[in-house]
Amino acid sequence: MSMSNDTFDNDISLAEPSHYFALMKPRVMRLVVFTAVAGLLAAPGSMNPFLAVIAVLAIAVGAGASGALNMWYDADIDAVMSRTTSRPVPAGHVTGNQSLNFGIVMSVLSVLTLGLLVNWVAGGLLAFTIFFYAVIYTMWLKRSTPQNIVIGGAAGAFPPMIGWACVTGSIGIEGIVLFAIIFIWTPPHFWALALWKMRDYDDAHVPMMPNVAGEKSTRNQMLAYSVVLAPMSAAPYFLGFAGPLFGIVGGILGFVFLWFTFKVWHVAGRDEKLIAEKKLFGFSIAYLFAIFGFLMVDAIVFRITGAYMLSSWTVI
Amino acid sequence: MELGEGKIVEGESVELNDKQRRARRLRNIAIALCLFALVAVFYTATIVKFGPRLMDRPIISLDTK
Repeated sequence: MSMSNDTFDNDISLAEPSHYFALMKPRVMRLVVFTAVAGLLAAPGSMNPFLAVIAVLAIAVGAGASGALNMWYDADIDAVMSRTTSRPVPAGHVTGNQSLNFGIVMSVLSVLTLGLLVNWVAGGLLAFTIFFYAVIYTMWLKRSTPQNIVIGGAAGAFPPMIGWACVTGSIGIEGIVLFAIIFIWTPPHFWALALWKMRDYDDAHVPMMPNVAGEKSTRNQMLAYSVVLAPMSAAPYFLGFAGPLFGIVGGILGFVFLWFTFKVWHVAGRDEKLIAEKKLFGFSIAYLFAIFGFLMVDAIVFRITGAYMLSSWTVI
Repeated sequence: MELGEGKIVEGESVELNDKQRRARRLRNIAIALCLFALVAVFYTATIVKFGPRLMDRPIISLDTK
């Protein structure tokens, strides 16, 4: 890893708070906050609003901490991939050690805050999430198996489950379903990106599915995951923690996702610009925001009116 | 920097340039804000968790039973 002269003058750091903030992967953090809030609102029971805000902040900081630990460990491969060369460590704004220390301090603070002020089921889940992302995914799986993002995706799937646990103090089948939606969504989402960034991952010697199993097998697997995701998108309705309108919208979103994946599978890379893959990647982000956004709206309606949207339909 | 007889030995101290001074000041402010936020969060959360019970505890019990 080369360190530019900008980092230090006479061994004195030039790192600014904005560089540390960038270590926390703010864009990923946004999705984490969003899904955690959805889990928190959808859960039965009430929670003091102030403690709810603290809970979401702690989850966000915990996710950021795991990002910092990831950037410490992955600085060597981040330096060779075009998508990641501008990250604070490879760009030379922050040293690897600074990133590691920052990640550890933030991990401890976020877990303690969530555990002490909310409950230890949520705190324990957050600790496990950080461990899972930093150790299981970053240090172990990412460089050793093409199933890296499948299993590593679990780390990104925990936030709504943590949000649920903040309110209920337990995990429950509902928390597991919210987890499953993101878990199953991750492979087609990430492999769509990997299909057109293949060379990058090859340069960095990261075994992504398209590089290892080939593009055809990757597309088949993406389709398989999407087939499972489509009905799973409506599962919150069938389990009773969302209303019928959510069931309809979730189902439609799931099937549109399946349609985009089908196009990727059908075109099978014959289009050199890989437009189908790029469209799927774009839609996959919109899908996740839409489904958790709608879950949130439905939960708010339920909390205000005592009934989910269109829930009178169930009576008829 | 060397501490001898309470004075700094000349030539051993590090002169910060403007960029270094700015970066250090920004880092210090950020750390101060974070610590302040943490104290405020724990203080407020403690009161919130106690809730009305905080006021429900007379220093001298008037209950004669």
